[in-house]
Amino acid sequence: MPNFGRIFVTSTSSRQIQFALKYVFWKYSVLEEVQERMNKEKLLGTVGLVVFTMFSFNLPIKAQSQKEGAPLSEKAQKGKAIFNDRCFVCHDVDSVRVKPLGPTLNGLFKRDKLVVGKPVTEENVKEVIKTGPTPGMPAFRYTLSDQEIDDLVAYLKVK
Amino acid sequence: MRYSKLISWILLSAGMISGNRLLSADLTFPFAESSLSGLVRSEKGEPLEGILVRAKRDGVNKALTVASDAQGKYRFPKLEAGRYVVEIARADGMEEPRKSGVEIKASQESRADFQIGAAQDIEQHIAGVDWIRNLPGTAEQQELISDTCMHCHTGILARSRFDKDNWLKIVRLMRGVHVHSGEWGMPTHGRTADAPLNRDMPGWEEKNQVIAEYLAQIRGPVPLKWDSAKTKVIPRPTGRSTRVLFTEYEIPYPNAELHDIDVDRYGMVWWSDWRWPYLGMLNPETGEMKYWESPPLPGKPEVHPGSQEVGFDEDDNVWTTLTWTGGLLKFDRKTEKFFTWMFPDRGLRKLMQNGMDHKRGRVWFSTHDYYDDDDIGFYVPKTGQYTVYNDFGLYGLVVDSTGNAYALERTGRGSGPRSQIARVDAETGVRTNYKTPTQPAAFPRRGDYDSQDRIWFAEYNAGQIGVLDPKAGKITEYKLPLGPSLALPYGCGVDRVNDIVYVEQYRADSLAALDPKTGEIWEYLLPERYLMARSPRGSPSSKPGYSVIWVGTLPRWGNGKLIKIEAWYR
Repeated sequence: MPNFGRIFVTSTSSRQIQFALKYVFWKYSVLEEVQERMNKEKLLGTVGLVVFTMFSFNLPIKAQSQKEGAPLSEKAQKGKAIFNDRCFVCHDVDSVRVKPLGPTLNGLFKRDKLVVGKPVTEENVKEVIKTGPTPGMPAFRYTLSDQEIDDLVAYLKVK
Repeated sequence: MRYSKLISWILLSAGMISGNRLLSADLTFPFAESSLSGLVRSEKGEPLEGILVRAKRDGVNKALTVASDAQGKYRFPKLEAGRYVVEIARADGMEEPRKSGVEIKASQESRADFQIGAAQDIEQHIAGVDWIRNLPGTAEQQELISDTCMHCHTGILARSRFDKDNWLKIVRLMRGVHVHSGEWGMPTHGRTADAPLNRDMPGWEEKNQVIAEYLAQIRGPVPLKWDSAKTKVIPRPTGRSTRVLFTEYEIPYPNAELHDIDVDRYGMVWWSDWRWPYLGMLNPETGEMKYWESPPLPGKPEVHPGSQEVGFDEDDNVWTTLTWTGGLLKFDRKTEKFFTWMFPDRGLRKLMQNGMDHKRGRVWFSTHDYYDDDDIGFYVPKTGQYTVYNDFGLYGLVVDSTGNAYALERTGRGSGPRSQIARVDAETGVRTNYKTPTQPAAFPRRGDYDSQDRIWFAEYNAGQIGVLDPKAGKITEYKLPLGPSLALPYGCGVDRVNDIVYVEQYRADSLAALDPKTGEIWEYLLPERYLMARSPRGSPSSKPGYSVIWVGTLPRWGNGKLIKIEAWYR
């Protein structure tokens, strides 16, 4: 199971700080690469994460509707509907600052590597969607058809 | 003039988008003129009553839906000319086909007939209430899913498939964190200050395993075979329940989640968003929708900016809650600026309902500290002062027209269920408790007041509508026809022009209506399933014998909508 709460015993007198720590630990525990880092770091480092998180959440919030660029292809349009239906609860594609549980997918295809370490290719992204290789992400192979995953990737490619 | 800006805006928008004007305003039933009608029949050719038929013009964010009558005939009012999609919006348990490219012309009545049989893939054509009761497995297994997942998620389970390991990821997430909160991702925990996290409690993971195991059986890699003939389906509307017109408006930004709405005295419909920092307004006369973004909150880094209940102060300014972060949000109608008031302890807390005492300039709220403190109180914007009353095990809060507050309680501090209405007198601050006749777990959830300041509420667990008459000091309960296991009434709203009481039945996606004068109860199916609609709200544009009711929706797919229900109930 995901390694929830390993460092949650870091109690302080302030309930609020305690919560913030718990939240940040949980949030980042779903990302394997960050979890690796967490394992190495001590409290000071994690306080840094808290501060970063607090700061980042104060940035202005913009809804997706206000950031639409070029018109989407029909395929990407279908992919967008699937994204909003299935992915949006954990991921954003437009730097929407509403505390995504998983990594942002904005600019995914401009990156070198996926969080699982593989290069960002259509095939590898499809593989991640189908198999859910991280502790937090479920495998969508039985929920989404190959066609739907194709459409979804077409949408992610233009975000 | 106080509302000059708003009014000029409304007039301007009316002029600019007259092409989108609602032609259905001020209708009488049956409609004098019609642009589209047709018959809905079974495969054997028998007329089907209570089938909902939707007409949506291509490229427009609005759709109209009507119901077929005892002869299977449906008839729309006059529609704008254009190309439409005409579809069966709801025929639970049956096929729901659509016809694209139906031409509607200004001067003639178009026709579209439907002949439908039992749905092949019936699991996708029934409401959540029918899905759960038709599942294979033991009563305990059904109850597990019903209690763990479906008090929020009415339909997403039936649209997802995972193997056990992957269901487990989802179950751990859902049971282990507050997904919707000021600390999105914050671990769930017990109600005492030193309570361990839920995920550290004995049996937590074992229960996850049992849930995931069952989910993988019913929604796993191998689809279950559903037998249409044996699937129980809630009854379709008949008679007066078919004399209804729905107008659905899509919210103009994606992923909208409308938990609460309200209608101001001009008939404008305001929505807050559970997920986004938006407050929006629909002008039903023109179809114009507008929304404003509230600013980030200083000193509240953990903010998740969703809101819940909406209310209007004596100057018609709009108030809502900063639900997950413990504050109130005011939208000044004149300047279109936001003002925020945060609960002064700066701690993590929810602030849920609000209600208005116009006479005393108070904004009532309920608040919860994520532990065991359930309080209600009021804030006075003119003085900046606030008052808190402790220990209310509440869910909903109703403030009547004279400023008295009523907490709808479902539990006591550190105790089990306790269903009662706790009244706090506006003048004296004295609290009086009224127990519901059904005890202990009727669960009064959300409510509203009628024209005589009686307090109406939905009893979620008991499948009843309750009413407190404060003058008589008595609560009366009305049983809903679907019964306690199926009705699950969440929110309650009163058409105060007629004093007809409406409750939203959560998993059936329907509204039940009660006429307190006769005790009669009847139902309307909403035009879509899995809407997760909460509290209906009456509009001042209701007229004798004709209710105008609104609900907001927060489906977990598609987008949030505002739905207007026009009911000719006599």
